[in-house]
Amino acid sequence: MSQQASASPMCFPLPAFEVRQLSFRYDAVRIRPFGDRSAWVINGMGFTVRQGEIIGVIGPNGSGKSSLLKLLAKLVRPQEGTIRLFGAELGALSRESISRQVAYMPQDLSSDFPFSVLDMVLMGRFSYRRGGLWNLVGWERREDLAVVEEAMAQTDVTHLANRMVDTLSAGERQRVLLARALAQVPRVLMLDEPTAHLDLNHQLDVCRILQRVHEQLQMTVLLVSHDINLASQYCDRILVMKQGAVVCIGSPQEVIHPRVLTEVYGCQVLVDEHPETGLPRVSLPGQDRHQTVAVSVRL
Amino acid sequence: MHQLLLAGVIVNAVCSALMMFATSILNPASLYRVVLWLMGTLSAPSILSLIGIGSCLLIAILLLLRESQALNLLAVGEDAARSLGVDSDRVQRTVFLVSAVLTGAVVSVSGMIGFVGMVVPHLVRILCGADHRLLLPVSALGGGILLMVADTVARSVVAPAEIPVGVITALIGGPFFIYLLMTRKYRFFA
Repeated sequence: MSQQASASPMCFPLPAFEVRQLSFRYDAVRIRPFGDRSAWVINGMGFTVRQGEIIGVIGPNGSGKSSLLKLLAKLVRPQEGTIRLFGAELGALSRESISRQVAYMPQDLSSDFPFSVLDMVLMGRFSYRRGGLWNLVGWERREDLAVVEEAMAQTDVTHLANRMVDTLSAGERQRVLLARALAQVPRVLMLDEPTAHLDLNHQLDVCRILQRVHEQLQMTVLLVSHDINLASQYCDRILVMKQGAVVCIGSPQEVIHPRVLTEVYGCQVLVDEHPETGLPRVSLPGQDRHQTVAVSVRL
Repeated sequence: MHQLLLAGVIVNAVCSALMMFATSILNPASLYRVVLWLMGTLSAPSILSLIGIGSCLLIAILLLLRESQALNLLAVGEDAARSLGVDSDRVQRTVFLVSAVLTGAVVSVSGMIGFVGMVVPHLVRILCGADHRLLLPVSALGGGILLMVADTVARSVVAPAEIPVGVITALIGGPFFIYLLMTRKYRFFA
């Protein structure tokens, strides 16, 4: 339960990600002679993501979860430390080769321009395009369309192909993003709060698709979520973060423990078992009845 | 985006100052031609300058078409584009440089003919979608057509005299742009 994950040896098969002594802060340009510790977003993190596992990253707001994903997708560069992607130094890989291995799914899809769902999913094929004089523009080839069709079927958005993305509901947008990520045919899928704005039904949809994809394609999945229960249900291992550092990493049973969660989130929580799966389930402590009544009377 | 708009206003102010300085030290004979050029005119380009901007245009179009799919991805957000494999710094540098050089080359011959570049791409985007692979070539053709029509009008309404074509394009373009701003829901400067 302690910070020992970084010590895990290189084993066969190669780990999807191997992170060592990773430190990062956003104001990299300004040089501070006496390092201000609070400015570090990620502070000396070390852990390993095994190939083919679903790993969840949880932690309070501002603990650096999203920044960690951005570092792993090379959207930002760390000041210190190394990240290895299947044994290769991430900093030395080109953007195109990273995007053929790692799909990063952002929190939400924003577009002010009228792109159709099909256009949007086809964007996932960018790093596979073949230019050349006869196809300078980079129109998609037949195999790209086949991959995209498959991805759209898997996430159940085939019927939306000609809709404009700005007319979709949140659940549909999330599935389109997932289809775009799958069109990259990645080995690692990274998701930032995939169920954030979704109702229960759509949460279940997205999770089922994730699990199916994980099982069918042996994809490594890295999932950032505020929803500890969701992480507990679907993840093989969970990494708990606080202030840019690893608090602990392990199976849901090991990690989701009242002592750990109270230390990390700073509030009391109750942990019991999920009635069907027996995996740990987190609830907030119940309200005092009288207090509730008093509030409702005041209202 | 306000920063980009402000930067544009400031660059415009500095350049107008330079232009005023340049016109103030001219002799009266060349002043007339400069004023014509400032108003925008297609009257008498030499064959040499046509060949010059023609080749600029050809090279620029090829370079921009090569980046057109990357531009599509950048339109959906820089982080998303980079995670999908776009080298955003390189693409932005290329596109800014190429379009700046192309604009400079064209304006050096035609003078300031406003609003064509502001109206046509938005119009084309309404007609055939946001895909830059289509948008770029169709906008180029559409801009040419609009300019030709405007020039025909400019030469014929008060014939045998001639109105500067920039007047016509601004008179068509200004109101049309306001109409677009009021009715379209997507943001223009994003």
